Amino acid sequence: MYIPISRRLLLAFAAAVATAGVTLPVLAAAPAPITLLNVSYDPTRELYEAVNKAFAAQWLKNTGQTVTIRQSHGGSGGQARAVANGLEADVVTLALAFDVDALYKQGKLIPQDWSKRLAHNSAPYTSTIVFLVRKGNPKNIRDWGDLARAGVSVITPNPKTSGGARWNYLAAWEWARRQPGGSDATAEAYVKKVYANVPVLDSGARGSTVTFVERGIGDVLLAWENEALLAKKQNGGDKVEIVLPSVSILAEPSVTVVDKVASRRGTTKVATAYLQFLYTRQGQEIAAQNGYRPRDAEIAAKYAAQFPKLPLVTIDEAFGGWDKAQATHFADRGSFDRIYTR
Amino acid sequence: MDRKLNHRWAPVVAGLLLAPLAAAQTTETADAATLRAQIEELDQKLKVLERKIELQNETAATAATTAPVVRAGGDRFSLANTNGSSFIRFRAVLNADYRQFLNDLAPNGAPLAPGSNGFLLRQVRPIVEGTLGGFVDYRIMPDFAGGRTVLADGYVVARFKPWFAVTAGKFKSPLGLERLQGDTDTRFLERALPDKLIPNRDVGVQLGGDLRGGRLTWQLAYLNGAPDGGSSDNNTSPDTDNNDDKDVVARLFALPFRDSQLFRLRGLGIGVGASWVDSHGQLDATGAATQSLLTTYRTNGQQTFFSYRGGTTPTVAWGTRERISPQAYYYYGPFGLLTEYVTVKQDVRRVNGATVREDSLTNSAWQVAVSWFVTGEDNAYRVPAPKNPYVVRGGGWGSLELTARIAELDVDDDSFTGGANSFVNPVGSASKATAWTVGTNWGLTQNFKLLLNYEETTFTGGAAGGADAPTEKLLSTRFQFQY
Repeated sequence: MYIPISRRLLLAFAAAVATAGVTLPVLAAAPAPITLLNVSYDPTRELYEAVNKAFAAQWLKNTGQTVTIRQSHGGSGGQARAVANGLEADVVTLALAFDVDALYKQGKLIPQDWSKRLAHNSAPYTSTIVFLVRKGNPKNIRDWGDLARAGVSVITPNPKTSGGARWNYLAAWEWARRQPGGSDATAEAYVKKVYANVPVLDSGARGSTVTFVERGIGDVLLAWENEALLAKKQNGGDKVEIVLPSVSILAEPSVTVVDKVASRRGTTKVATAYLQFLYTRQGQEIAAQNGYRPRDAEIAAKYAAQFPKLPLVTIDEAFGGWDKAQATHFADRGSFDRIYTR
Repeated sequence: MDRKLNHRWAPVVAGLLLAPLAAAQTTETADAATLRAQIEELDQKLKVLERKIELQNETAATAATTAPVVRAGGDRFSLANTNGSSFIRFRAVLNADYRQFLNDLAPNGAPLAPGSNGFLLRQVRPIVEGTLGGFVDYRIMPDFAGGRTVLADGYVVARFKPWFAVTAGKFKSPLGLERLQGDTDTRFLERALPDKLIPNRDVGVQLGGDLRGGRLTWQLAYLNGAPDGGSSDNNTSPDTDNNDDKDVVARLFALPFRDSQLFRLRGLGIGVGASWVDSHGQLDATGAATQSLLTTYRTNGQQTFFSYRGGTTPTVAWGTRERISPQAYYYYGPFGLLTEYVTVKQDVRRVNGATVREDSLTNSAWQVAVSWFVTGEDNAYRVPAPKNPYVVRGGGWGSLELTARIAELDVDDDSFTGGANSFVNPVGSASKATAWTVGTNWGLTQNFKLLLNYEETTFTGGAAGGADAPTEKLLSTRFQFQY
């Protein structure tokens, strides 16, 4: 029995169309739920819990799609290594651009010009480094120089693993270099004295907060401003207080979509929207509420009392950018390896 | 006077008397402050030590999460990195069968060959599979059954996106629904009659993926080509192409209600598969086929009931071969239904002396199979694990599944026309086979199952004088082990 080819192909086509016709309307009815993984640094837990909730609601409203965002937190450097080694992050929101750069350098997971994809070099909010001391400041710690005094116990994380610790280290270094007669040599001698006063090195900023606030160790914690505000808020202000040093550093936590992962998982669109949300008024407000300095001028003005002005140096002007700072201070045989021998 | 004297000297006397006491108090205050400072210092040291131990423990715990994960459980033996993005898994499938024919004659009318009744190893397959970097899947599965070594599966899958993956190597041709079901997921010892028309494993490349969260699956393959019911390892040189023409195979399968609120329809899957090739058989100088590119059809008792003419005047493939297979399954609670239809249009040619005949023959087959878990497991395309696995000295008894199936394979009547010039000799080849099967599957554990099938296959034609070939009555059992 012969059936013409054209008729058989028509039959096959009709069957395919029938299958598609029955299924596609149903398939199109509701987009499938989607999951994102945000790999972030240590103290952003509370920030992204709030961001995730707000963004998921907005995304559901706009697209009808349910998005669930999972969070991973740890020392920024360690988190970057984990992603480079296969942790399937759709987005990273790390403590500093250098750690994000690592995703380009190790595996080309993102393009080299990733920082140009979002405003402010893909740093939607900023922060700085402040001192958190015991209530009443019993050791009278006022500025960076006090950290090197004998008998002052300083809590700061390990710069090898923590982005916040690197900001701490460089802020201290730059203060020393700005003192009369200051140089890299005097700065190194000063920082060495400071680290001689560090009894324990945590791997991340949140760990150091636990060491200082919950375990009661040390006289001063070098902390992200947002972390210091959170610690003060959680302790009702009766255990700790914030001291602003004479100069600090402008910390610019950076964010990006991890292109290769997001592309493979089909999450590029929602991941991009997630990071863009950080720049919206709602996102900026959430950042400010969680102790991060917003980029939006209006939101910044609204929260001006929470973020007092203090002189801030930038990584570019003081250290020639992150690549140079990393190589000079935190790479193997860098200044940190020389001054911290324990 | 004495009193005055006393009054005047009283403070002096008192001072002299109290001075040592005050000095003692000052010393004690200083000592207490020193002690307090020492205690505070010791307290800090103690806290630092405790914190260091705490951090060491955290570091150890973190290290444990990055250490390779070794699993040796009932479902798998595997080595994996912490996040599971890379792993290697060792599995195995062993099917040990027993066949007992309740009839004495084969479909061709001859007595059953000695040894037809007996034990056999149907599949003996160690499997190595895994994923590298969360991106590339691989699977290597030889089969040692039947006293020969065959590579059943050997492929890699690069998953670029959920909806786009590239598979290369040897794998199942993406056409038949039951054929694509795992060998330990099929509910009968042998697949149904449509499987005789559907290609099995083939070598080539495949594009495919899942859309809409897996509710729609697509596959498009470019393969060496395998005959009806055959694998590329059946070729003269196993897994080597036997002609220059390639098969294009495509399939679309949807689970339209998988995530919907229509719970009763969540287990409904429908789809269609199709293949196309234009190929020509090859003859040697004597006229015998070196490559007929055609095949024979066998019963589930492995008895041949249909074959094209061979010898020095063989029927060979000569033109296009098109297969179309609409297919569907439905699972709800313990109930399962699987049905598929396949039609194959094969262009053929036969040279018999001065007579040259060419035609397009259409063979078709269908099946409807149902299953029911008496023990209440949720039925699915992949066989579910027993709710209450069998445990020696107590515990559950595993799962019990009842199965039934009816299937038919219809050969184009034009195959038999032409007398001596026909493409198929009507004596020894039936024009139709109809089989019904009932069975039970006792899944003691996730790894061990006992299957019992009874199948009767009746034939139209196939015997001399236009009579029907003898019915095949096959009782078969299987001990299935897999992990």
